[in-house]
Amino acid sequence: MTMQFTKRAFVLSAIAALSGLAANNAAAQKVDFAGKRIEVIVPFAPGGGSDVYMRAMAPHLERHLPGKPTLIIRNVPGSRSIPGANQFQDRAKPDGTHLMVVSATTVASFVFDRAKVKFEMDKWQPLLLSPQGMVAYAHPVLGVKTWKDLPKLKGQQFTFGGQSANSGELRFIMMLHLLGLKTNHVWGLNRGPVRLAFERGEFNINYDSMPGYKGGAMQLVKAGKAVPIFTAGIVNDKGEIIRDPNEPDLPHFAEAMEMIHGKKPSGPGWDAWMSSSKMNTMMNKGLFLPAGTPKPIVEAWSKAIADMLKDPVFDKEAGAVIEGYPQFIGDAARPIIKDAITFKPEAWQWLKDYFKKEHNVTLN
Amino acid sequence: MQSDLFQALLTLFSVQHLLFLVGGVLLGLVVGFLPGLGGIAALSLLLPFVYGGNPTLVLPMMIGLLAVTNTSDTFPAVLVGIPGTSSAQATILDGHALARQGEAARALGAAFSASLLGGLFGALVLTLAIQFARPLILGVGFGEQLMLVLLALTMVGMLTGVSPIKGLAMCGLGLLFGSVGAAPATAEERLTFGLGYLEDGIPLVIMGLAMFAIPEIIEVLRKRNTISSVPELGSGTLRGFAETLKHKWLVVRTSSLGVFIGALPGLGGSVTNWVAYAHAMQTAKDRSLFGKGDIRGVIGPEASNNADNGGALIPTLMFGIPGSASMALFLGALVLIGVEPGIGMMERHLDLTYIIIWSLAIANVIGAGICLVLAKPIARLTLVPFVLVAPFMIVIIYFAAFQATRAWEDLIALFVLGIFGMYMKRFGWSRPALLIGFVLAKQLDASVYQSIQVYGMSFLQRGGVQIIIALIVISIFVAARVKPHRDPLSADGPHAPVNKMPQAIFLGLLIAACLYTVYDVWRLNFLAKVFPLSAALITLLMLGVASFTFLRHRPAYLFFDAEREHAVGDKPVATEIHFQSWILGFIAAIGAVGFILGTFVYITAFMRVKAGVRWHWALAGALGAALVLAGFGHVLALSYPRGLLQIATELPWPFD
Repeated sequence: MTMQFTKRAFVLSAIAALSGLAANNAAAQKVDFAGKRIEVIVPFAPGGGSDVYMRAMAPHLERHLPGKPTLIIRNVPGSRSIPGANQFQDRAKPDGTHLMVVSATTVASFVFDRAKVKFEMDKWQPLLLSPQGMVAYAHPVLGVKTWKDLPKLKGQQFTFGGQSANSGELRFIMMLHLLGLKTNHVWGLNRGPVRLAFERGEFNINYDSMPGYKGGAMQLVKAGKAVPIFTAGIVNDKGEIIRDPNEPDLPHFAEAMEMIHGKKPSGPGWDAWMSSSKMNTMMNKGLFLPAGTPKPIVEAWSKAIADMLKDPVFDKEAGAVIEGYPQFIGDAARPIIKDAITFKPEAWQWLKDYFKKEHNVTLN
Repeated sequence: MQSDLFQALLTLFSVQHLLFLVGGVLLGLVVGFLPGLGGIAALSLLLPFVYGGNPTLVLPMMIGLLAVTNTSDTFPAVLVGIPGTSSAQATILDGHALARQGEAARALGAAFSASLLGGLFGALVLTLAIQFARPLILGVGFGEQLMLVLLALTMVGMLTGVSPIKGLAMCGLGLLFGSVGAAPATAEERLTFGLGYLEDGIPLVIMGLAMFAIPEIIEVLRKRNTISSVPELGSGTLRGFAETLKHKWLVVRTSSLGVFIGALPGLGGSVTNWVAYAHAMQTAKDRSLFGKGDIRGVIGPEASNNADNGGALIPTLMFGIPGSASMALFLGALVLIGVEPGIGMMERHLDLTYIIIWSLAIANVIGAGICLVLAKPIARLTLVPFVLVAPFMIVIIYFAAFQATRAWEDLIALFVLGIFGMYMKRFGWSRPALLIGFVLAKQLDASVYQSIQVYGMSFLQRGGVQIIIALIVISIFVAARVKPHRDPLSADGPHAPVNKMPQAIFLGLLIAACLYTVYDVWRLNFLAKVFPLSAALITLLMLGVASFTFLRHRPAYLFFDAEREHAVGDKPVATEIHFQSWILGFIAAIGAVGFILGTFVYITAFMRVKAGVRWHWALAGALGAALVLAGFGHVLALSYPRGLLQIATELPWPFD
């Protein structure tokens, strides 16, 4: 009796599994974008990091998606990417033909500017997260020759230029604050002019994201005009901060904190930085489908992305846009997104106080 | 080094390289010609094909494209008064005036030859600069940048029109328009009325179209049958070419200005052409024809805006820092094809550097050559009855406006500002002065704050700053000495105090705008409000002086109303409001059925009602326009404004 039951159950479950597999296969086969135009919204002007990221990947995605569709990239620039994301929320259909590019700025708008945000990024279907690290560097006039001289920075006066306190510069100015470095902030400047002012000696501390660092600031380092001092590091799957795979010889920020303060960092300020770092570093670039996209479509997209990342042609022609960081495909990205957009209450309070006191900016 | 220089030239002259270069040039000419689209749009289209490409093929293509957008943008500027890109705004003043006298081919000939020489000059300077310019660029700090912006601002002195007080007030108003959006120092919103659209400021494209294109179209529609007031094209392109050669030192001077301003990140083409125009005027002995069709007013800006590219490449290649928005895209592409600009570019990529320089030079020659050949046939457009051209122009203008941020607000902003521009023109308030204030506002605001934040007041002790202060003093002195060319005042002349009410209302609105600014920015942090507040108060002072003169009842240059200028037999066919309503009708059609269908309906209606053409011709014209728009949308991956129809139902391409 028991025997029979088990056997029957086995057969049943086998049938179920087979039919399920068949159904899945059928669904996966049904996903075919042949002859389709896939609309990709990039919520920034052409030429920005997110635009280059998408345009570099586009031809390779086209090759790997079922049916080889055409990707149409639409730039909807402005207002810290809110209009572009709102437009995607309003118009995108969950049929796999509408794709959204998200950057750290979009995430920051989502977290810090609730009043204008109509999009529900937390509900969107993630397809790919591409982290992007950053390198901090100091001017040699500060008396530093390598990162080992970090403790010499204590007590010196710093001048840093950036766009604004609540933009992508957040993770870096928090770093300076947490390191206890007294900084004079000069706002309203893009990264390029800032680097030029650094070279002129008007600013003495600066950072660049990894492509900016490799593409520009590294020349300054080679010419002895800048000294790299630490990286933001990246977060591993255990939630710990580890060294940046592109600059493994530089200490990450937690190590830098320890070098300066003599103990491992902790407390609400540290937690706030960890959240903002996940926002800025781990969610630096990403691809999303609308909420409620059927599973087979998500799987077809995820497979295409996985295939693309493994493709040596992609690696050779456009691999530079992902800079050798771990990539998170499909639902594997969900925990990171959750961490990045949720601050612990004490950390949020710390951040509010910090913005108010240091930058006269009110968060709501 | 010289062998490398010629090796690069030989490489370029192989068939394959030349084809890529020419391909880039052709694409650049097309996007430059189309208002609203520029090098950025075309370059982003090329980007996916750039990755992994052979740098010696891809670079000529990209440079070819960037080099010539400032050449072909002259066509719409001269022929219909629409800036093809924001670098062509100053060309309109005299170029379009010439076109209206039947001299379009001559103006284009001068413009393209000036572009050619300016472009070659830019390439030459770039060749030398990559050897020597590094210390010069590093010498320009925040203090020097501030002074350079101030120097550019003094150029307003040349462009105030007949009434200096009105011109200065407009410049102040331009500064206010330019400070709409997030404050550089604190990112607080100013003058945005709580609209997300205004957070990034008013787009420059829209400002340019509103100040020049819209008032121009309405005026021609009202007054004339054709753009040109004479039925035949006067002298040809060759005469224009000869005139450029005659003014060769002007070409050299304005090209140098173009290279210099182009090399400084933050200013760029939209400023360059105005500074060059003002310089052409400053150095001329007889200024009476400026604004009415002086060929020097075409040559100056056109030479400078092509030289600008050579200048913009200097920081891009030597520092890895883009000199303009399109250079940012170019830089992104460079990094991805494995070229690392910045210190040591000359050691690492000497061959590619020379390929870039030669491409720039050759592209300028090819681009200007093609334009020169096309100039005369395309100039015939000015002889076509304008009422047949106008609906298409209006569609193109609104198409261009929508490319600014791809939002519906773009259309509304253009409509509102277009009405403002139209009345500015009617009442003789200087539109160039407003635009100069506008393009410099953000930079001025930011660099005052940044200089003080970095240096305190000590930046005034820097040598570079003091040299530029001396130049500013000279520039103001020249501007103050210049007497604008103006008709004598008389009791019944154009400046007589007759029918003052419309002018009084306009003046009142300007004062209200300044007062509102004061009210709006009062609540902000000091750093956010100090700039708009100062600009508003200075403007109010000017407007106050103007009001005082206004109350006295005697002829003054302050008074002007173009409506009084019409001769008895030359009364306009309809009021300006009439044609503005037609434009509003177009916007309503878009709002109902979307851009493509709206264009179809609008052109049909306009051709039928205003131009009186037969039904089938009206429909054919409208269909043609809709097809071209759909085709462009497809190829360039553009989106169009959607209407209620598109929101209510799902439509297939191209109606989506």
